[in-house]
Amino acid sequence: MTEATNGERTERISRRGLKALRVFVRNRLALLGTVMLLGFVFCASFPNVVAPHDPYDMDLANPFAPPGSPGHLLGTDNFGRDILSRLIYGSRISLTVGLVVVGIAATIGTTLGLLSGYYGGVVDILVMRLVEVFYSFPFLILAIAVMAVLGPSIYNVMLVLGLVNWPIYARLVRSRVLSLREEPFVEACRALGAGNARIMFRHLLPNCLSPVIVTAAMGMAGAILSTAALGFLGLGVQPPTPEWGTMLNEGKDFLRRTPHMITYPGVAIMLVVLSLNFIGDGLRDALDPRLTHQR
Amino acid sequence: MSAYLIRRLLISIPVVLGVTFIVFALVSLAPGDPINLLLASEKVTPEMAERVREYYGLDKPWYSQYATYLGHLLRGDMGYSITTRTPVSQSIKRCLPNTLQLTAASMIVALLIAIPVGVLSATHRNSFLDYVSLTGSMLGVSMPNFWLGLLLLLLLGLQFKVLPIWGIGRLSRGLWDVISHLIMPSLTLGTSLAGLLTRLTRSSVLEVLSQDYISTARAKGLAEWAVRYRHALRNAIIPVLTAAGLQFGALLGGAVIVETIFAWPGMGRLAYGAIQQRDLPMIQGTTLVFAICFIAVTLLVDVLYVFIDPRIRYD
Repeated sequence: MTEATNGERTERISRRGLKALRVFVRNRLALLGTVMLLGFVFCASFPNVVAPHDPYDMDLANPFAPPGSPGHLLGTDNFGRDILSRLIYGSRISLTVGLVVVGIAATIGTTLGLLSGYYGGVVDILVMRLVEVFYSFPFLILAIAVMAVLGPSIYNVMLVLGLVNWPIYARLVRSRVLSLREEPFVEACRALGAGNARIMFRHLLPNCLSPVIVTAAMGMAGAILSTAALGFLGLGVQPPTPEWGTMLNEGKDFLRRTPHMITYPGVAIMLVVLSLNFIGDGLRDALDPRLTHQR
Repeated sequence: MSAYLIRRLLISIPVVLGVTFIVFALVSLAPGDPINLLLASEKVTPEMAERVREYYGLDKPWYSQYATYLGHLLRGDMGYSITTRTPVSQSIKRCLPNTLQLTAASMIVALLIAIPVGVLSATHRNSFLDYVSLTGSMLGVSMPNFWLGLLLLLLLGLQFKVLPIWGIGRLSRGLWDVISHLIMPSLTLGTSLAGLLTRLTRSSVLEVLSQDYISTARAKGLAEWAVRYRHALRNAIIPVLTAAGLQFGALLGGAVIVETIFAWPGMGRLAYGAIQQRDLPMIQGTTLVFAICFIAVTLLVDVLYVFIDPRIRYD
């Protein structure tokens, strides 16, 4: 009996998943975004295969080589390092930071949102006040202030951006839980003797995941932009690490002489952010049918 | 209305307290002895250390330190800059109007782009124009603003030399001086918001156009322009303005970057300079004022809401 219902449930879920997948694939921009992102993921996974040079290899005899120079498709920077190779290795940093940041933020936010929506009362008031306090800071300002105090490093970037980004997930999950809490299936779980933790994580959480996934895709785009912004201000990943924002920071001193030092890192940031935004849009249409008519 | 206003103000109090606490806690996050941090790396004489300890109440427990900090704040005292030895509040008072000028201009730029383009995009749904505007707004949202700023600087400032590349204009040198200095920074800061708001305007207009009262307006024979601009736009604009207000924080955050690129003498550049010097009191002061500005704007949006949308009644 239980096996049968379980089987039915899996089938229903997979059917719903298939439908979502079909909607997603039919969205050409979402597909384009996925292909672009896969390209970046490939570069990030096998930079030593893709990149023509070592990203740290200086060639002091050949600085500021223009794009299209022999052996340097996108030219070289002020130390004669190959810009294309640095961009390829940089994708590894941006994608990793983006993933970790979203992981930290979504975990904290979702947990607090679940607790806040499920228990209500004092827990809810405390969590929501905390959310409001965090929302009161212009996001980048708080990140910059904490980075300035903690000192720049890639680990601090991940930690700070993760800790600053969680409120959006908390708010999202809380509002979802508030309406789910009243559903008959929760009542049924309780009648069957399920504990609070089981109801929250086993039954409510899966029902909150689609908006969290959509937000996470967009959030990863935001995290990559913020990482680059911190790098640009000299507060993020430190040189000589080939982080895109840090590369822009180094390039801005040679703006007039070698515009290509800032052009290409910017294009790389834009493309990866664009691909994640396309994917996020596609996911929203696929997972949240109520919003589809707006397209 | 006034009851609502008072309640809304009261709710802001715990939020402001929370914000001050986080800003206060920044000191304890910093590695090292706070006294050395607060006096920078210069030689610290015992008397100086003693004075700092007394001023901040550093020999007392943290809650007492926090109370001292709040007491200073209430008197408008945000401490002294480590580098210039002048009151933090003085520098902020000097820079804040410039930042507000820049963010206001960026907001205007964003709305001037977003509303017409979004409306056209919605009324010409699925046309070539709609496609271009959607792609454009997506690019605007995805473009890092520091990159856009550098490109504008390179192109309009250095290559064609049509716009001044740094600083703020003065009204005494004519209106064009003010505007010409504003164009590149406000475009840089406003583009991503413009992209966001364009998409929002489009979907908001589309939603309103599908409402029953629009069909009614059409059915009673109103001209299409009257339906669109008198009936639809006024209702569609409300969520756009709300979102614009809530995005003000993003503009403030972006100001740090844009002001750094264009040497705009505002709070962002002040904060950036403070970070370079590890000027902790200045970092605290600017962070706090940025947050307070944001809270004030959110409050303002909430209140303005009542005037824009007559359907909303707070009681």
